[in-house]
Amino acid sequence: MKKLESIIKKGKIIALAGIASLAIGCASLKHYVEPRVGAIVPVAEKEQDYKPSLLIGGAYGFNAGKIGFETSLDYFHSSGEYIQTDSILPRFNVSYSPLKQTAKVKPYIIAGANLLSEFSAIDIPEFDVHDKVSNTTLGVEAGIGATILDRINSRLVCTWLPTSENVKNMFTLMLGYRLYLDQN
Amino acid sequence: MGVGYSSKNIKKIITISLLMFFVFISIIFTTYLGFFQQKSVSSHAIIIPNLDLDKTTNSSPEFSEGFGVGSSSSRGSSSGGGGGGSSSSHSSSNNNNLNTEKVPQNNLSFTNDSILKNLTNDKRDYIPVIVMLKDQIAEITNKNDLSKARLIINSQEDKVLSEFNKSEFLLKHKYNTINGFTGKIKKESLEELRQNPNVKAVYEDRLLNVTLMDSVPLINADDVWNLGITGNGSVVCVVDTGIDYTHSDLGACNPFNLTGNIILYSLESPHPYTDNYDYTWTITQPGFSQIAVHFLNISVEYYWDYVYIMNASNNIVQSFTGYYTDVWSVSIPGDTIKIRLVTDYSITDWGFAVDKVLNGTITFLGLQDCKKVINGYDFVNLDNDPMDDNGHGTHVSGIVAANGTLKGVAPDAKLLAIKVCDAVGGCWGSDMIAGVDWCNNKSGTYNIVATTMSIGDGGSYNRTTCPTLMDDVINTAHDLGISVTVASGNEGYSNGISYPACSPNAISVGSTTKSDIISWFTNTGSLLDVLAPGSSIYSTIPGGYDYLSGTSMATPHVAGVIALLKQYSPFISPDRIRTVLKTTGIPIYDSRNGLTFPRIDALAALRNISNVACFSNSNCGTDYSFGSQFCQSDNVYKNWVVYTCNNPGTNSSYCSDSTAPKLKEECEYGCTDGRCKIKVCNYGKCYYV
Repeated sequence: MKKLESIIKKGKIIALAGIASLAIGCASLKHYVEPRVGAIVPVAEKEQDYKPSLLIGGAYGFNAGKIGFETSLDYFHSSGEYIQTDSILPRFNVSYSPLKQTAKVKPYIIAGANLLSEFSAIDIPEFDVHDKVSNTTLGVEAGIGATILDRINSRLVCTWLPTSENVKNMFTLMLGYRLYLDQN
Repeated sequence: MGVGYSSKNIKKIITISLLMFFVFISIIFTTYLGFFQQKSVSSHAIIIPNLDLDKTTNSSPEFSEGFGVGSSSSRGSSSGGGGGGSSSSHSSSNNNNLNTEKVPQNNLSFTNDSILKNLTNDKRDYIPVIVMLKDQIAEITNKNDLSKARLIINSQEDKVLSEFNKSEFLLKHKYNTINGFTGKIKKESLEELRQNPNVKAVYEDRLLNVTLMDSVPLINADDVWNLGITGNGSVVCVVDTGIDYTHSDLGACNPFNLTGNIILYSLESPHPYTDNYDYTWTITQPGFSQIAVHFLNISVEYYWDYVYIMNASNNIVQSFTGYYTDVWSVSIPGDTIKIRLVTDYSITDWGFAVDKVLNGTITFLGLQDCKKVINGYDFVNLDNDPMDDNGHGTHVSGIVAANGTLKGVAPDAKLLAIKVCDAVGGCWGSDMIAGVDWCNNKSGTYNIVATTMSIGDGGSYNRTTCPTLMDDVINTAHDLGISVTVASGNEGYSNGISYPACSPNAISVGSTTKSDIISWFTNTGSLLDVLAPGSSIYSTIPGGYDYLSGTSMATPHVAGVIALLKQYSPFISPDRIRTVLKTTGIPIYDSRNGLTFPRIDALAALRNISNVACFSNSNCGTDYSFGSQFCQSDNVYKNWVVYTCNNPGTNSSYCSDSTAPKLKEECEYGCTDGRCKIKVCNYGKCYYV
């Protein structure tokens, strides 16, 4: 038990050290909120076809030099045979800009975790079946993006839903506009 | 300004990161508890645009000069003396700079507003028009009326045409079974034409597009074959981009005659070629008077990559896309022929190899001796050779009546190939009318049961807004007993269908997937008659096979079923056919508009028209009616209702209830409330309800 606690403690230290080391070299903190729209395209469907859906959402985050942290919440609606679903997708992401940045374009890569929460209405008129169900699926994601003129943010993210029974992967294409809260 | 590396800021970053992570976790908790649960909203599917064929809009077919006499077929001007092997003389005017003209780009839809009234701002000297004359004859109601009607119609057309000199009106087609003609009118003479007392309406002639993407068992056509009904004796007119009649599944016909001397000549493209490739090879053989090349093989990505044959002046006279072996090009005058390979930005293939050249001619002998495609006409190039230089028409035709490696819906039906669309899928309205008119005119010669058009203008129309331009020719077909099936269009509209599918006597066809779900691209609306499989349909293309999706693919399924029904019941009317297809189809719900449309079922339709209770067990069983299946509770799956057809196919046939228990596995997901459970999935989870 002591060994486990020791490992957890070491893990915490490593995590904090990692965040701290990432922050070293940062120039300034830039906090922002970002309303955004996009499209979500499920792939690798196993059981039921879904079309691409429109997505709206918002994010809060900040950049510290080449490193960025962001938490966000997106919403989309999807419909399949007998089922209509409203989904919300909270995400937590870390971004990093490995490439040379210019004043106009700042490319970055991004990775993180999310939790797909679905609220579905099942309607089968033939059998008078009307039901509401909800479920949550953990996902991990990675993607690429770029901020243009320090304001417009475009991003393509691939999400893997390892425990999903149906959609194993989905792509999200987003376009947002950053509103900076402060600049220390 | 930067904050440097102070520990204060590092702490700040760590604090904010932890705070954000806390927010993230909080959101997860609240969502999991259903805090944000909302009521369902109606579906708002993203509409993905159809394949962009706008590149077709600045083309124009050649126009015949002067009035001439007789039908359009008498005005043929063969461009190159036909082709050998798989393709022949198909000069796509899109690709021929000499014959290209600009067409207004703003609206390619036919609307009743396109009846020409105000051309003040139009800068063209000549306006392409379709002229409809006032009816002064009795309606054509049967095939016996045709010859008499032709004489009267042609005389009325000539009467109006005689009021314009040759430079005022350049005639393109005179129709035979409807009262009208088409051509180019000098802008200054347009008003005179409109005011002519014999003229009912003048429409602007515009380009429409071909509507582009295991279905035979789905519509139970194979069950109909098992009854010996395979479309034998039925003939279907395919009004499209032509048909590759050399395809092994479409008759493998080779109606060409080569005369002259053949010499060996070796020329090959790079193998494989590269993306974004555009190179022209020139073959010059001094002393040749007519020259053609023989391809040992052509393998280029279907639809996206092309091999063009050009003359010495760089005019394109023929195009190939797809896969061919042992094929001659057209023979062109002179000693020089050019081969141009143009590829797109992705997917390469082997390329081509030339092994011979011909100093001589390749004559098209006609399709009369062919087994599958028995006649046709090319209204794009104005000759008798309707070879497909696009592939769309070949795909459509394979769905109707392929009989080889693949089998179409009516494998023993014959085809008439009417080419009205050019190499890139552009189709002039005037040519479409001419195509249907040609089929009407041939109804006395062939047992034409259906004319199928997988063509649309991209518009969204209801009953009041639907253009009337093709009504006359479709109505005539209808009166002659020919069903006209037309694609509803691929624009994803749920409140209207395109033109000419909206024409009152057309059978409009939308698309479903093989899972019997509405295809995302299909146009539907209150005018839509039926649905048929149109997603990922595997059928013939020039030299091979490919998957395509679209209402274009759904439409020939219906034409094929009509060929089957007309074999069984030759005198059934188009109205009855439409009613039968609608009433016997499997209901499919369109969540976009709340409407339900019937997906065709060949066997059920046959049973309906036959007054025979059943042809097979599947006529009696529960396969097609989800609600009639039942099982017992407690996961004991027995006592399914299984009906058996007794005395199948006879007037004394009847369905009886069999009590034979079925296997447990019949209810895949278990039993509930006396019925099998249904599996329904959202993204993350599947439910069994």
